[in-house]
Amino acid sequence: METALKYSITLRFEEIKLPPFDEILVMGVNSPHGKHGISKSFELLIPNGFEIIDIKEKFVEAVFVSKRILVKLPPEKLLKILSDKVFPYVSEGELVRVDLKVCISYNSIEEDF
Amino acid sequence: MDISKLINKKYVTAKPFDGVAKIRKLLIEDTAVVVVDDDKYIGVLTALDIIKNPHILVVDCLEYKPTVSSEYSIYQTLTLMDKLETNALAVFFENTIIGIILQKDLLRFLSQHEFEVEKELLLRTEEFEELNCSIESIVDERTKELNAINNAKDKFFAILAHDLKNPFNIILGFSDLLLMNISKFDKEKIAFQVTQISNAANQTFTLLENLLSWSLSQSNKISFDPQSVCLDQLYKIIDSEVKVAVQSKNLKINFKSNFQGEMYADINMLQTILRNLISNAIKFSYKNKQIHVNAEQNSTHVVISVIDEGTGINPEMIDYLFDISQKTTTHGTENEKGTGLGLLLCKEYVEKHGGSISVQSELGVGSNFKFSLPLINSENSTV
Repeated sequence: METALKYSITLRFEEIKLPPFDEILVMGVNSPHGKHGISKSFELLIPNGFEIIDIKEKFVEAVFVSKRILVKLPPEKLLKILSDKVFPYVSEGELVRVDLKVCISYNSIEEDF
Repeated sequence: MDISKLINKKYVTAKPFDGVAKIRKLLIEDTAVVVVDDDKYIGVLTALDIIKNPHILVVDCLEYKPTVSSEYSIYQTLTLMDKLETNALAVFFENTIIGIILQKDLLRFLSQHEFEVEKELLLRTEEFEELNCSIESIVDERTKELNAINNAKDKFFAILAHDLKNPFNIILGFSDLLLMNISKFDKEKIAFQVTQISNAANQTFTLLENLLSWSLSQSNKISFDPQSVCLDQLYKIIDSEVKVAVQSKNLKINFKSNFQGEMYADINMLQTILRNLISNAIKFSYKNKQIHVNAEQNSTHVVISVIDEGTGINPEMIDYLFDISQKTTTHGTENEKGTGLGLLLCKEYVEKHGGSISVQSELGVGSNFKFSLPLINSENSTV
């Protein structure tokens, strides 16, 4: 008696973007994809879209930041935030995607119209 | 030594965005890969680099390494590699890569070189030992020769002392006899005894004169002043010097010269040579014989022969005539004594002029002593 062959398929899809993050990528030391390799691929995908910032932390080698963020937030302030809030959780060889939204608001605007 | 001969000019290349997996095998085989991007040099990648920087792409594994030139010494290059902890460096000439230099090639060369140095050292040691043995043997030989020469001189001095003592015995004996009996002896007897004293004194004087000349010559203190010499004038001087001895044996000396020019010689030395050779001829000549002194000229030299009709020389003795170690007291036909010192002097003086002396002799027939001296302005003159 022949056994009938059955397939069980689970299907799911969603839209993705390249690169698979919007604003910030933290690169751990000794990650398989090195700084130059990632930088080259970003250049191919979004020319002139990202800034590479070298980091001298125990487990963090570099940070790739969207230039749009840097227009809103100076690098020093951004790095201070990342250093306090993100870097302590990055392991060796890891690539960590960071979602960071900047919202700018003014309390009162007084100006002669 | 520089690294020029050890540069690896056939190297493997990779692109910066090649995967490391692709070149891992190449790295194991070749130790280093040169990374180039559109012919532009990027760097040298070694197996050590991919261990230290474990990335996927070649460019991420690269570490900065300075380049070297082919004029770098092996020591400089190895020191730099040690400092950078790398085993390969790129070699540049005028901003262009000409090859890579590998640590393993440098070390292999040094180890081979060290082996060759050791081999060379071993060879040199063996040569040195051989040389040492050879020097020891030469020193032994020279020591023996020097001892032999010393012994010969001792023997010679003993003969000289003996020959110097003899004439004094005659002088002292006859003068004592004369003093005691001067009133009893007639004029003829007195003349005979004074002649004996005079002959002995002359003989001693000649011997002392030869001895002094020889000792000066041995210590290179004798002056050598060659100048133009007229042979005929010299003959006259010698003739007067030997006149008494010639008359006592009723000999005749024939001076004959086919050479009319002038020769180039130290006149005192030439006089000593001629006087000694003629004195010897007189000494070994029998009464009433002739002595011939001939001078002939060839293209470069004047050859002077002193020929006697005397006793001749034993063939066994001819080879030793000019050898100090074989000197012994000789006796003339009238029991005249001599040491052979004069012949040693003749040889020394002739050779000082760049000439040579030889002898031909036959027992019972006579001897021919021949010596050559350079002509004045002779092209081949060694004086």
